[in-house]
Amino acid sequence: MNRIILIAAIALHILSAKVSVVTSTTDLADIASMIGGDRVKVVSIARGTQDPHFVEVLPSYMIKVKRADIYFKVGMELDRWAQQIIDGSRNRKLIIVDCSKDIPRLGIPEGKIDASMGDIHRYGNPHYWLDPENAKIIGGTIAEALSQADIGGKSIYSENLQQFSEEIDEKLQSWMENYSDLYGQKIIFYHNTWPYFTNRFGLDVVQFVEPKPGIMPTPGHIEKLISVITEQQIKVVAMEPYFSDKAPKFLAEKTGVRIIKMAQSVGAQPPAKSYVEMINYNLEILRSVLLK
Amino acid sequence: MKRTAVLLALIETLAFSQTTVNPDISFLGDLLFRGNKESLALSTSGLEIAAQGYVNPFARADLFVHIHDDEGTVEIEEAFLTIERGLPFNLGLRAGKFRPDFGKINREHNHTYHYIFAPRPMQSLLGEEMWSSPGVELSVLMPLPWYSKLSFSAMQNEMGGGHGHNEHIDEKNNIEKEWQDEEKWEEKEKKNEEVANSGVMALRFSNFFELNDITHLEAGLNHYRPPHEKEATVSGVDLKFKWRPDKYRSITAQGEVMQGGEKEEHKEKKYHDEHLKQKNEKEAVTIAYGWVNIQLNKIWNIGLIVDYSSELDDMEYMSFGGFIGFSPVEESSVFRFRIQREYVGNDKTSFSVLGQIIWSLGPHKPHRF
Repeated sequence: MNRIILIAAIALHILSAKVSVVTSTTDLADIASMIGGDRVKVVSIARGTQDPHFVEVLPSYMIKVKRADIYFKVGMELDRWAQQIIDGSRNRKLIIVDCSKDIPRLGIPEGKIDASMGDIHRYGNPHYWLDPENAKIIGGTIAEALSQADIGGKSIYSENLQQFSEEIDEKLQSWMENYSDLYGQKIIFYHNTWPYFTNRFGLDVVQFVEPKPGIMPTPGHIEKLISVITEQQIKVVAMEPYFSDKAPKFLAEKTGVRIIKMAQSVGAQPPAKSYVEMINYNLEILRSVLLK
Repeated sequence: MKRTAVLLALIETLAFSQTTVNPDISFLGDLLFRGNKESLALSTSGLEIAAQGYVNPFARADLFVHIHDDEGTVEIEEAFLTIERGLPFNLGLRAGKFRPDFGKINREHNHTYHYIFAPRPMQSLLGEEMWSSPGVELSVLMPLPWYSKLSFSAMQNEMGGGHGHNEHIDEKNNIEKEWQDEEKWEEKEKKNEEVANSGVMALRFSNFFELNDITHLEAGLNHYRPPHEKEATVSGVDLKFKWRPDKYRSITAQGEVMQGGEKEEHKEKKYHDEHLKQKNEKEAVTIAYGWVNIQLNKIWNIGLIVDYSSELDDMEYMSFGGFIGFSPVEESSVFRFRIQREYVGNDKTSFSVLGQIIWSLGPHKPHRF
């Protein structure tokens, strides 16, 4: 009798065990949580406040991945550090999924590329999650992988994907209507993180604080920015929270331009608690400074 | 039949391990400046070439070749295969010529040092360019809630050997002068070779604790022993602490203490024959170093380093130094500067200034991961 109870308990434990998911970023973690629902346990390696290009590989991350069933990567060379964590985990059964696989890519460099062009990504700009249309594609990729890892939950994942896509469609429609006045507004970004976002919402990016991706601003470039801001009456310099605000502050002092910190990922700013809230936050802060 | 089967298996393995992409290839070069009361000198440690990549889905290969500036000597620093996700029971394997998992500094490549050169006592113990040897290393991730790894390395050559760069050449020249008798010289070389190739083992038990999101502590226990020479055993502990509140700023502290009996053969390399007779006793030598590095922002770092040996070239040794680093563009080029005061014996002190410009071409950068 005792043996039957023990076997039943083990079987119950196995059946109720959640799919363990690790993601490179908080955005993928949030989408995976929405698609996976109660059937998954999700952990992100990078925090929302961190620069996803440069995450220090810590052995403790390897332990998280060691216990995981699936790893969702951003791909397109953004999270190159992820492979070292995956290898160090020694998890032979881990399913590795590149969430960029079905994304229509922007900014694929043409011709020969080298380090003189800065920190350039060969396969295109990797910040694709910032377009809500792409969030649906990411959701589809995640649902497909979860269904393979957990066949029993396939219908639930499919249902959750449907719900997530509908929510994004609904939100997108309201964002496009409510923030249509952002269309054509000129802006300077610190780093080229936002092409997917600006393409969707129609902002006009005139310059970057970085002269080239990953290269700190030089005095000559700052001088150029000052004249661009003055001549084109730029109102806003937008940056990610992890960059140094020394150069933007200098620009603000010289020209009166406003500095805002946007949320490039879920958790990058306190109000950006989920994917939808992150997009909301970014649109709202842009409107508050651009259309004042 | 057996031979055919083995051959077929080999062909299949090689065919499977063909990759369609090239490995990551990098070059690292430097310029060194060293000045003290007597002299000023510019030099380069040569060129390091690194090729790294996956051999197949389960294994990767790493190759580091050092072309030395002195007479253009080409040395394979490391060339090894790593299997991390292909073995059962959380096992990992490295095979080839590599730096075994022994202490912290032995695994760190020279160009990653904020302080330009490895502490002299560590160079004396591990070799001027640290301990690298042909061998096999098996490691296991312990089933503990934190990251805990036990590594066992069986290496062909003992530490302290390998390529001795400038020091090795100077030492060889000096000894050569004194050992005019060719027969004696050959006999000594043969004996040294036998000692160096006797086979040794190293153990390391390392633990990594995430104290919170921004603070980490790593602690390791190390043990080294040639199989038939108890007196040459070396044991040690190492600690590393890092506090990194944001992307650019961090405070890192690292230290190691090693203790072991210096065996007769070690002495033989350092002293001439007559000297050796007086220095034959087996005595425990303690060596240690510690450094603190403060990363002030994206491009500037400053720090302090101290190192100690209870016996270095027959005298007590200690040095204190301060260093500063400047890396303007993603660590693809780094400028480093160090001042140090060395205390040798009771009254010998020297002051020196060191500078380094280091550049990299390709993904292997002069920074730590």
